[in-house]
Amino acid sequence: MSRTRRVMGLPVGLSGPRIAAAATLAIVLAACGSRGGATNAPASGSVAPGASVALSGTLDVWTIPQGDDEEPIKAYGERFAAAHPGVRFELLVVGEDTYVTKVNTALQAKAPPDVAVLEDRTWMQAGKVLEISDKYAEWGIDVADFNEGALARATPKGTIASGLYGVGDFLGGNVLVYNNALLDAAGVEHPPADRSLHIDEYAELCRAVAKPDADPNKAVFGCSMPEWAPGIQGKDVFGPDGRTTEGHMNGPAMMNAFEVAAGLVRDRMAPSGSVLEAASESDLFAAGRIGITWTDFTETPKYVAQGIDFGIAPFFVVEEGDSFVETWTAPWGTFIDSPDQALALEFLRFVATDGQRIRAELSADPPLSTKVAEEVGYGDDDPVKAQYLEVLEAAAKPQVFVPPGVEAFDPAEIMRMLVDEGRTDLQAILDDQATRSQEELDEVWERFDAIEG
Amino acid sequence: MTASPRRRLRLQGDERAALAFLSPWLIGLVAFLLIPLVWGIYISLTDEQIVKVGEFVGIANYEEILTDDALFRQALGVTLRWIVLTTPLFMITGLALALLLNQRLPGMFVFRTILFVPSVLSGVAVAVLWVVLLNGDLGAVNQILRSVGIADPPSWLRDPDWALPAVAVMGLWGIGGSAIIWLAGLQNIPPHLYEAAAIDGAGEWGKFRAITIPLLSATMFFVLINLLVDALLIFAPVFIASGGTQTGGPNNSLLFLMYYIYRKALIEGDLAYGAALAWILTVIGAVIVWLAFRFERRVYYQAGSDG
Repeated sequence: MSRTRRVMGLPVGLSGPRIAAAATLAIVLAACGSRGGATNAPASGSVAPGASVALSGTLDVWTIPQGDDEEPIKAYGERFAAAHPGVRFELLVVGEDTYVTKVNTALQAKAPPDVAVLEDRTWMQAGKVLEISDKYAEWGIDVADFNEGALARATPKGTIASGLYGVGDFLGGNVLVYNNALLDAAGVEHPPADRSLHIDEYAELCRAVAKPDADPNKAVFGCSMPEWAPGIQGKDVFGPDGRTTEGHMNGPAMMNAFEVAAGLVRDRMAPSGSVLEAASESDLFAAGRIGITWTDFTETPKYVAQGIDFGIAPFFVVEEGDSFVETWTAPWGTFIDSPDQALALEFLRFVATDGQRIRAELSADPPLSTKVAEEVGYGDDDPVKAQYLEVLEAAAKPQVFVPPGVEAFDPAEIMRMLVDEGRTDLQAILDDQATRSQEELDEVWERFDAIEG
Repeated sequence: MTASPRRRLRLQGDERAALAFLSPWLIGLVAFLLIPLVWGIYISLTDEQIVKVGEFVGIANYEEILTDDALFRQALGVTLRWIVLTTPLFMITGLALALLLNQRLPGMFVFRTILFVPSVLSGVAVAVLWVVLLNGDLGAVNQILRSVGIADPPSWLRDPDWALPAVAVMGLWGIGGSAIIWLAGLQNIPPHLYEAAAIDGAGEWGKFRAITIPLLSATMFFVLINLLVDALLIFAPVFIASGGTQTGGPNNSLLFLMYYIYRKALIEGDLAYGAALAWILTVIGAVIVWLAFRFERRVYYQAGSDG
């Protein structure tokens, strides 16, 4: 006669191990949860503008931190959810340093969000993002209404001809702001709004306005000279086609630009990188401690609130006769593996249309659509906004596209060698970086061109 | 009558139950450790990218890393310099602190708590704090140095010669954790040995050399292995100290191997190359730990042994 052993009160011979195995399976299945699944029409469906589509489910939207710009984004979510009562809008803000990594891992797992800011163009090039070039017409939108330089962020190669993969809601721009009182006290003419200062002119203004002090907490800086500023225009570094460093990165214009930049920081006319780790340029400007600096236009309400009387000008340039303002938008797109594309596309349509007006209500930036900006009278009763539009009109232009991954060009390292180490062989430094960068540039272009959706 | 060999291969009731209850852990081991390890080897033999399925390329990634990657050599050099700099420093400092904490004085538990707290704080938060303290122009450290007459203190994390020592100082702040381990080892040494040594006329240094060190050898070895592994895998403080971007600090002086792997695999999206780097790091780590075990046989003391 055999004895029956029991585990957990159950006979081992029959159910104990099987119960344990079933419990194990249950634990494993519970750990592999689903993301809720699509509840709306499959991915390929196009949603006609204004069509009453019974949408429901959770719309997962990922973005990088956008400061005050998150208010309009939340407003989009609230109003979109109000228009579609079955939809729950969930916004996830991921730190900028880790955003691309997070999306990459989600793509690897074939579990991307429904909508995300398209921070990396390789996603588009690799066919991971749904192309929506034909959606604009379906939605009744003329692409020409949007700022070309900014909308280029929604394309894989920096031109609309390479395909549109996203929509933008605002027109951002890096402009210069100058403190009228500090410039007047120094007897310096204000920078024009219809052209960029050359870097030599910028430095001259900077030195006239600065009141250096050994204590960086007391110094009034004439201007800001961030490490990336000399190379802000890709064409100056990588050529007009984005594929050549020789003669550009180590050419006479960049040589002069870095010499001027290093001189300003070395002579304490501009804050060093160490100072800027503790206080940003916009904070210094709001405190009246910097004469002219670059800024994101959304920071300007802070200056107004601090009572700073300021003007706006295009960014400085390193080539004579050039003018430049870098413009951008945060392009929103949906992925081919996104769980609910119908919902995502409807949200993108919303951003491209109604979102433009919401943006104009809630944000200092103009909407990406110049047509909507005119309709809502952006800048009509605000001289700061009017001047901003004037500057954009004069100097905004698209950047040349260069695939990510060229790391040999390191402006911060160049400035550190010139300022902290006191090196005087700038040509040799630039020649070295140009040579190493060209190798990397050839590799990244080869890799980028080989990526196929 | 003995069971036939064929019957003995079958698990008995208790064995089956045990296996069943161990299965969640075994499944986890296979799913989250063994399979990824094997998959990592396979990936390292392809040209897989994060946005592109890879094709088999054999040992091309390894060849490139070992023969044509200056940044790998830089990262390896930085990591080895870090090991050489910090392993003895952290061991000696930890032991010294433990010897102080082992004094029988009133309120010693307060000091133990104070020294231990930094090691339980978030590594990222501690790193951010130290980045602020070590700011070259405005940081408290340099302001103190200037106040005592050092007119031109180093830029610390922006100076390629000082960046690594600066990160070592950040690591020293959390030495309380290993000091507690040393303290546990010290308190396991029978006090009668010290009494006997005192009777025999041994001084403090004699007691330390002849009693404390040998009887701490097990603790020493444990701390050494932990420090070596931590040194190879260091990431968070370096990520923060180097600015949290794609750079490896000034002149790549903070480009540690783990950070280089992260950059290659997750920022540049070259998964295959990152996997190959990870396996090379694994082999390096295995060699270092093997050397440590070889060294251990020479110095490990056990009660009753002749060592």
